[in-house]
Amino acid sequence: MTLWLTVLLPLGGAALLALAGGRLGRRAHGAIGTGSIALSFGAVLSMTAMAGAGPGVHATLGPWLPLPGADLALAVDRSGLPLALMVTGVSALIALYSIGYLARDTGTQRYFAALDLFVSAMLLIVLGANLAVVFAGWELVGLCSYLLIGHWRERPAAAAAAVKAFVVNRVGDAAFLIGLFAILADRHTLAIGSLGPLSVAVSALLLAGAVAKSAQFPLHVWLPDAMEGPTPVSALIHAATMVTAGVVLLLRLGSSLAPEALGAAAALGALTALGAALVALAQTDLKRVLAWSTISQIGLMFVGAGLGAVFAALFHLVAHAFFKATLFLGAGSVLHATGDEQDVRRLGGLAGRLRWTTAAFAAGALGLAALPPASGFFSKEAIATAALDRPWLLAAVLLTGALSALYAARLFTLVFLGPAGSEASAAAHESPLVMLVPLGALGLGALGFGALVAGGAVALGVPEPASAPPALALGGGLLAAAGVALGWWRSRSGGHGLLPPALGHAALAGFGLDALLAGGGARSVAAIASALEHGAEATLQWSLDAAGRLVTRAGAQVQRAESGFVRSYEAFLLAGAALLLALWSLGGTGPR
Amino acid sequence: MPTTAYLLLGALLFALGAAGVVMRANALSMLVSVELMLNAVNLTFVAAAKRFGELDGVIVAFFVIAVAAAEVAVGLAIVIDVARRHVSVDVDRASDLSG
Repeated sequence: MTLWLTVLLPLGGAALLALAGGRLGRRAHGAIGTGSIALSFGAVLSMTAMAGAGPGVHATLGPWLPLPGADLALAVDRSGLPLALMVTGVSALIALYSIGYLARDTGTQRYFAALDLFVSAMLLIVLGANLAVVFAGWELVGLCSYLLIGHWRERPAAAAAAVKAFVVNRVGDAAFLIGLFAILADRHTLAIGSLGPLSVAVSALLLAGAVAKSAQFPLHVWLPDAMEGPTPVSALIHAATMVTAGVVLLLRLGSSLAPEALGAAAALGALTALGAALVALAQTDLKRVLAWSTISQIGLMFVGAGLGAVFAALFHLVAHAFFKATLFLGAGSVLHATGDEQDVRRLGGLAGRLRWTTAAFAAGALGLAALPPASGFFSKEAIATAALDRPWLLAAVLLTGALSALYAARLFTLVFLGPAGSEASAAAHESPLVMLVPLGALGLGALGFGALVAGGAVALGVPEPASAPPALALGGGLLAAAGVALGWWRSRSGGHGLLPPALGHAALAGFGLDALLAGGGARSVAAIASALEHGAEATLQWSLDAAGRLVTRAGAQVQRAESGFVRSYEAFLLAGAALLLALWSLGGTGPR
Repeated sequence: MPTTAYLLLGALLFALGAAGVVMRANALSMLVSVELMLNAVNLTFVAAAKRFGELDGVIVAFFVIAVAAAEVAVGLAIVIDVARRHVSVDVDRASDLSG
C-alpha cells in the first residue's frame, strides 16, 4: 500500500488544489504542492529502507480496463525505486524553489496543481505494472507539460510552445498506442514482466513513442520552445520527469525490445547527442543552451539504453537529473535577479553579486562538463565503457562529452565571469532563501552523486558492470578538461561563437530542422486537412443544391397543369371521372 | 317504352352537356350545358325509379333540381362578376389564376 501512497499523495495534492485551491492563499498552494511531493518522497524512502521492498513488490488497487493484464497495479522492478526516489526528491526541491520563483504570480493554484499531477503521472510511468497504466501516466505527462509550458497563457509564444509540445508528443503517443494494441492482439497481456520478445515492428512503434517523449531526433523540436514556461517547469520537464520518460520506457522494457530497435535507439541517440551539442554551442539564449544540452544528454542515455547498458543509462539519467535541475534552477535564479534577461551576451559578471547561485551553477556546469569528480564524469564514463566495442558510438559519446564541456564552460564564463553585459546584470541581487536551499541541495547532488554511486555507497538496484578502463577514464577526463579550458579561453572576453560562422549560423537555427518540419510536414498536413475540408464542404453543398434543383424542376412541371383555363380543368375533371368509371367497371370494385 | 331507351337518351344528353362545358368558351353557354348534364342525370334516376317501382330515384331527382337552382344562382353571380371585371363572359380571358 505504501507503493500506492507514492502516487496517490501528489494526486491528492493536485485534486485538493484544483477543487479547493481557490479558497486558499498563495502560501497554502505552495505548501500543499511541495508538501504532497515531499510526503511521496518520504513514502519511497521508507520503502527503500524497508527490508524486502526491492524488486518484485507488487500492489494492485483494483481492476481497471476489461483487458488481460490491465489492472490498476504498480510494481517495483529493478530500477523502480531509485528512479522514484529521484523523481519525487528532485521534484520536491523544484516545487520548493517555485514558491520563491512565483512569489508574484497570480496562477499558483493552477501551477502547483499541475505540478503535483505531473509528479504522480511520472510515478505511474516509473512504477506502473503494465503498459496500460504506463500509457495513462504517459498521456497525463503530456497534458501536464501542456499546462505548465503554457502557464503564462497571456503570452502568445508560451501558448504556441505548449501546443507545439503537445502536438509533437501526440505523434509519438499515437505510435505508442498502436504498439500497445499490437501487443494486446499478439500477446493477450500488457503486464510488463510477461511480454516476451517483441517483433521489430512493435518495438519500432514503442521506440517512436519514446523518441517523441524524450525529444530525440527528429521529434526533438518541441523541447527548445518549451523554454517559454516558467524556469522551474523547465527544470522539472528536463531533469526529473517528462523527457526521461522515454529512457525509462526503454529501460523497463529492456530485453523485450527487438535488437534492431535497440540498435536504432543507440544510433538515433548518438546522432541526437552530437547534433544537439553542436546546436547548444551556438545558442545565445541561456535557457536554450540548457534545452539543447538536455536533448544531447538524453541522446547519451539512449545510447546506453540501446546498448543494453541499463546501469549506465540509469546512472546518467539520475546524474543528469541532478546537474540539469541545478543548472535550470540556477538559470532561474539568474533570471529572477536580472529581470528576465536571457541573452547570455547581455549577462556577465554575476559571480560577485550572486555568490550562492554562482556556486550552485558551477557545480551543475561541472556535472555537465563531466569534469571529475562531478557526477557527470562517472555516468558518462559508464556509457563510454558500454560503447567500448562500437567504435562509432564510442567516438560520438566522447565527442559529445568534449562538446558538452565546451558549451558548459562557455555558458558559465559568459554569464558569471567577464564584464557585465547590461545594466540589469550589473544591478542583480541574490534570490531569497526558499530558492537558494533547493538550489544548494541539488548542487551538492550534482557534485557528489556520481562519486557516491561509483564508490558503492548508493546502489541503483541494477548489477554494476566492470568499471571503466583507466585509459578511457583518463582520456574522458582530459577531453572534458580541454573542452572546459577552450570554452573559458574563447569566451572570457565576449559572446562570439565557438563555431565557424557558417556552421554556427546553421546550428543557431537548429540546422533548419524545425523550419523544415514546420514548412514541409506541418504545412502538407494542413494542406491535406484543408483539401479534405473543402472537398467535404463542396460535396455537401453540391448534394444540397441538387436536391433543391430537383424539387424546383418537379414543381415547374406540376405548375404547368395550373393553367388558369377553366375549360382545361373541366376536361381533366371529366377525364378523371371517366377513368374512375373505367376502373370500377373493369376491376369490379364499384358500388354494389 | 323499354328502360334502355331512357338510359340511352340520358347518356346522349349528358355527353352533349359535357361537350358543351369543355368546348364553349361563353360562361352562359357553359351554365346551360351544366343544366343539360344535370337533367340527363335526372332522367336516368327517374327511369330507374319507374323500372324498379320505387320512389328513391324520384326523391334524388327532386334533390338535384333544388341543388341545380342554387347552382344557377351562384353561377350567375360569378358570371356577372366576371363580366364586370373583363367586360366579357369569355372564360378563357378570365385566367388570372394561371400558375
